[in-house]
Amino acid sequence: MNRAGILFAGLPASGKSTYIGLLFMAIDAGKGSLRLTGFQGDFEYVNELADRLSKCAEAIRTDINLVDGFNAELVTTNGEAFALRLPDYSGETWKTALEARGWSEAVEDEVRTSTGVCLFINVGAVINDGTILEAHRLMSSLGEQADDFTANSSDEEEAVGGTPVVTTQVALVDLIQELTRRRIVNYCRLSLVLSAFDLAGDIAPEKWLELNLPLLDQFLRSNREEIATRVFGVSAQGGRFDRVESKEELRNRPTVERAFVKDGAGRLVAIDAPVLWAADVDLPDA
Amino acid sequence: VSTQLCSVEGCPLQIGGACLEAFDDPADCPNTSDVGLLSSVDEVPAPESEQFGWPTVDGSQSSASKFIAFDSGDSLGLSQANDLRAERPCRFILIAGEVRAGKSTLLAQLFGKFLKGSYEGWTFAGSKTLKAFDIVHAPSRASSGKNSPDTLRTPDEGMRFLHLRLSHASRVDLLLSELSGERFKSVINGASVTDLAPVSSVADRCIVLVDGDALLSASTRGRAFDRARRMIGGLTESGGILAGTPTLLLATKADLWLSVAEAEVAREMEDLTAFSNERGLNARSSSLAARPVGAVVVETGMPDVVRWMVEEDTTTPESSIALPQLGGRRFWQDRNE
Repeated sequence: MNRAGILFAGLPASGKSTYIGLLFMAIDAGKGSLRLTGFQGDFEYVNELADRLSKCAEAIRTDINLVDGFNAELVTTNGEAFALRLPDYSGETWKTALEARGWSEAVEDEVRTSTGVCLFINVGAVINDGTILEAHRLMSSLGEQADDFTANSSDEEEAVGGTPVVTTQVALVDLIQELTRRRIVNYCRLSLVLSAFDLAGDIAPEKWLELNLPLLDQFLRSNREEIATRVFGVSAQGGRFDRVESKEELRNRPTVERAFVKDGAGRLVAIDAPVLWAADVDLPDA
Repeated sequence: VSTQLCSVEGCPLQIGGACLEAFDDPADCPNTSDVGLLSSVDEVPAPESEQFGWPTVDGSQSSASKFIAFDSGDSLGLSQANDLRAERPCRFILIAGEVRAGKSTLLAQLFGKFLKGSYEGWTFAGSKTLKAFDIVHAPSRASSGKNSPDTLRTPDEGMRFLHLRLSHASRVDLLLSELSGERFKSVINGASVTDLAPVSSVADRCIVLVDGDALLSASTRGRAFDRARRMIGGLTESGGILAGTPTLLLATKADLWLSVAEAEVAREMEDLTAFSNERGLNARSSSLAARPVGAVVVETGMPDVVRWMVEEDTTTPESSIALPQLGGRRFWQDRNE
């Protein structure tokens, strides 16, 4: 039996847990290419994730105690059996690692030996930080004075090395560099999962990446020989839970029916497609 | 004893240290929860994830779980630059200029270009000093809270380098010096290049910046070029930049002087180029407005600078022909090491 370990990584609230709930719901409902034949781990936690998803409730934050994650024995539709290990680290694990410039030995072991990585980005929580000159130009085009740009700004203060806002794309390039550099083999499969993709509108995931996280996009395109990447857009919830009208509409549809996963070009694919790519599972239709 | 339990992995509070979020009273931190009155700290439940091996006061690691450190992301010191150069071919570009001539602005705007997308056909392929680049670029960003972009003054922390990997048909690793302007001021004033910028002799290329602030008026322009001449003279003395080194002379802040003194500056830059070539360099000149002031001024010069940085070597510094090939050799040796 082939064994695959997949690291689910991402900053806090990036959609990892929601996707795990959706993945196991899809497997349970027979959607996609995987059938579950064995499971080791906290099934109650997985069920809780799935329950919340089906009730249109926000996902629970990953408990940092759940680092043991899950071990699932799966069979693909073409009969290939494989064991999947899914350590479920919280977003704080990765955020703290970037801030503290390091991680625990347990994380290191998972990073070094994993088959692939699913990296999650919540498209509704991307931090971009434009330049002051761009802001001036925008204001000029609106007929406003550049001096009105920031009410509390000051040019009198001497520029000092404070803690700058770290943009999402810089943080993620930083994280991927560390994830891939420390691996035993100089090759990694990466599924870049753009979660809450219903917020992105009618745009293909690869195009969204290029427009919204250009540094990350360049980095992945430049390193495709070492980091084999596929981009996916996932809406595990199928819409916005924080809007009453949307929530009611979503509630009336089965979870695995309302959820969608798109490939980089924007074509609908199976819910388990990001996992299969990261796990290097060869399927005729994958 | 009322005990706070922190949910943030890696927080020193978990091993009796200070709150990671810097709350004086950890109870105020949103990441903590009060686990009740305990008779001793030993009774605090310790989940697996809390076994995080932060360095203790004496620098040792706790035995529960080793903390695995990775690159700081800060600028590289000599030994780190040596290691990188031994690992892969790197093009070392010495960036010379006085205080506020525009060295850090050049680095910030170079990184800033790639934050927006590929530039001049080249794409960002990685950096060992991502954090350092981000910090250099931060004062240009809206989140800095400033009304106009600024640049951090480079502190004199010795020989420091930023790394940028770019990709096109091939890849090129750039090692860009981040040396304090005070060092170049000392070279102008007669100090030895081998003392102040000992890495000069291994520079594959060199950029010399002439501060555009001084080019607007005739009274300061002549003196600025005199100082640039003396800097180039000092940098090309024995132990400095090698003969034949491709050198780009940049008159910075072109947005300030271009409309009123373009011809005068061009003439002076021509003379400076001739002087540099007399000193054995393979020099050419250009102007740069990397961060023009105002809403409508167009940036100029950056495409030329980037193309010059990444273009294939057409010349080889004369004295470097005899140097050993890359691969395990030391890049340079700091006399203080």
